[in-house]
Amino acid sequence: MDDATRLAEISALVRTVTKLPETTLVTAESTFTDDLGIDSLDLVALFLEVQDQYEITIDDDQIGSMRCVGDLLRLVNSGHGDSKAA
Amino acid sequence: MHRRGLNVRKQLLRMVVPLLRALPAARASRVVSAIGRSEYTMMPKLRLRFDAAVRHGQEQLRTHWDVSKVGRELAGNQVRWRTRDLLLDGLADDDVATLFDVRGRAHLDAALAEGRGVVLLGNHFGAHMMPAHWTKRQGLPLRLFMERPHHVSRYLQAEFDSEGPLGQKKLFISRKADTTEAAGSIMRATRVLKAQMVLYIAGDVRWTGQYAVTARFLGREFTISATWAVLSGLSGAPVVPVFCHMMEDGTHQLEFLASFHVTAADLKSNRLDEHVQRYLDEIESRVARDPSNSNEYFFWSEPDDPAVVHRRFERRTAISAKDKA
Repeated sequence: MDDATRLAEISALVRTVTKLPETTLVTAESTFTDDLGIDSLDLVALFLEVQDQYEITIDDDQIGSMRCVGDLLRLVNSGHGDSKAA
Repeated sequence: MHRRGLNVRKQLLRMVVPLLRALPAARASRVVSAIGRSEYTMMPKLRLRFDAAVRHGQEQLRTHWDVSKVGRELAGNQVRWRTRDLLLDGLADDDVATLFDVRGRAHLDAALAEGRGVVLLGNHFGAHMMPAHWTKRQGLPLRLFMERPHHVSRYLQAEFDSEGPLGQKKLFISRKADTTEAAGSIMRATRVLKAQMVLYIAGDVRWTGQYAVTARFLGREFTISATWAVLSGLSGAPVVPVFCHMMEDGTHQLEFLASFHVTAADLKSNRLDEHVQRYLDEIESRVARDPSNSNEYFFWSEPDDPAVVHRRFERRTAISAKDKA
């Protein structure tokens, strides 16, 4: 799966889990808190969903450094668990 | 409470507790209470402060207490409460067991049998660290989800620096955590619950960060952490409330209540407030029945730090903007 397709997939997941309005633009650069206004509760729900959907484990150290959708994309693409969706 | 007075008490207890360990634990607890009661008797300013606080609590709860009797007992229990579980160091498991009159253990066992971990919901009524100590003594897999407590037994401390995904070290939380860090803490805690462990957390913590809701307690409005409800809602783990009354004879009555669940739907429909309020109501009813176990509740005041007020305002504004969008 190429990056663009996966980004679209993750963006859709972000939108669904956090119930973002359709008018909100989600890009790889969109930060979770400042740009998308996601609170930590929705962020946890998102991370849990990503873990389940891609069968990966998000490590503690990775959570602290995840600021934007692109970070999440890189995490899914990285070797931290092979994605079943890939 | 006045900080200087607290520090004097802490220093005093630090000196006295090791000596008291030579006594049977129940008697040592009674001696500690006696220290607090003596302070009440001998220190007029302290006595006035306690009586005023108890009187205020009585008015709020519309009860009829003997104010000076309750004030004196409360002063004693408050010092005992501050020793946390320090007096249990060095005791064998069997000796510790004799200090607890355990009620409702079946509720805890039934919740554990669900296989989704247990949110063990504690509070600052009675002896707040004792449920954790007892649980660990029972050999149950326990983690604390709270700010790192100081001045606890070496028995509990021994676990505090355990590393790894399920280790205790990273489960201690901070009031300064930002959104991502708070999310990380919750993720770690849900992982602990998924591993079918018991997660001990307080449900009466005044909190202004993430997952805080407004609730009433003893006639005042406070911002209280709803993290315990969030964890149950996200993980599906049952919540088991636990109370630990300090008894006059130096022992403890440990009471587990029937478990309940917070649903994922509750998280999305602002029902966290209801869960938190219901829990505070339960604590309040116990305060009404046994005010001498209420420790610091009568001394609570709403924080008026402008930074806190501003942060709360920002959070409410952000939520309403999101709802409007």
